[in-house]
Amino acid sequence: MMRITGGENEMQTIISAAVYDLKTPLTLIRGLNDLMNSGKLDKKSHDLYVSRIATSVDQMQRIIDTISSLDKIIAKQQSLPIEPVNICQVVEEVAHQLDSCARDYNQKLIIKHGRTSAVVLSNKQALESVVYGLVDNAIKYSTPNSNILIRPSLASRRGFTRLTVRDKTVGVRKSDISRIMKTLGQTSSPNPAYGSNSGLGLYATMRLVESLNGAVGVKPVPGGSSFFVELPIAQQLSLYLPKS
Amino acid sequence: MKILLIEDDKLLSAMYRDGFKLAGHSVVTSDSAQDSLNKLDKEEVDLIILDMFLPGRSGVEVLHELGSYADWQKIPVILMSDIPREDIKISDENLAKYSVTKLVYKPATSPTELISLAEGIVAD
Repeated sequence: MMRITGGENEMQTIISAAVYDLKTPLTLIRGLNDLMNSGKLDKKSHDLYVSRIATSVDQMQRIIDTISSLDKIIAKQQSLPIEPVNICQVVEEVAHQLDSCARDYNQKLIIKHGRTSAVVLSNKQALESVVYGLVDNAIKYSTPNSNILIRPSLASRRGFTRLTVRDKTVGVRKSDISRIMKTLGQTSSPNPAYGSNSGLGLYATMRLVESLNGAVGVKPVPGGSSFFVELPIAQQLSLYLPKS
Repeated sequence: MKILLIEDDKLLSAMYRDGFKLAGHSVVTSDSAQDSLNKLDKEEVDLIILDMFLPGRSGVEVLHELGSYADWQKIPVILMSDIPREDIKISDENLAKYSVTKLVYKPATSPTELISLAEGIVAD
């Protein structure tokens, strides 16, 4: 496990983690393309491979966007430009991108809008990375045939919107919580179906949310874990009312 | 040819499995060290393709287990890794001790190349 010591070391560790995380989608794109060129695939397999290549490209793009945002706040010590962003819209877009990935693991992404302020003060690219990181983590660590619940709602803290992503995993021990959010390294996932990853997604979530003046946390819940981020509301009047 | 493919990433495993099947080979898949050893107890295979990084017990631990049983020692192994050869701190001699015929860097190896490699090893 690599521990981050700040500044230059932090960015080097992040880049190493990103390089590691880029390898699986790269291997998939190269390999699926190789099999598609064999001319032996039936139409169903061909279409499935096209979909998996598209998902892998999205994953690579998201890793690059995340590194770009982290580079600004860590290496260049800049603030991310803050703008009003519709968090419900970001959730819908990210869920759409990751839907086929969840289906590959026989999981279902369920968005349940609570009564909330949809518009938060944030940075769109960074917020997309945050939501993608949380949902991707839930997919990787949840058991097959499970539901992943994504819920934007009002935070108990006045003036903040909360986004909760609840997964169905073996659960997170309290002692693991700070380690998960503060360390970066190759961690094995508890379910053998999902391989290993660098931990970059959750680490980036923590760093980006901090830079957006928000808060991030995780708590064990019966049958899984509940990750949440809280971000400042942009307009008190922008209430999102779920369709009845 | 019958292969035991030990790969924990579900999508990569499905891709390699499809490739070998399209090439007319039989594939038994496994996603963990313990499961792979259980399958080896029941199935006779010509070749093992083993991912170095598995959750729980690693691929290297699987190699140790394979080396402990006479029947399994004879099975050639292709070891696959996400990191390049120069960053893997295992000598060629030690790899050979565990019947590792070839170590491949996954991102640079297509399924077609892996299949050719496997066919060459089993034909020898």
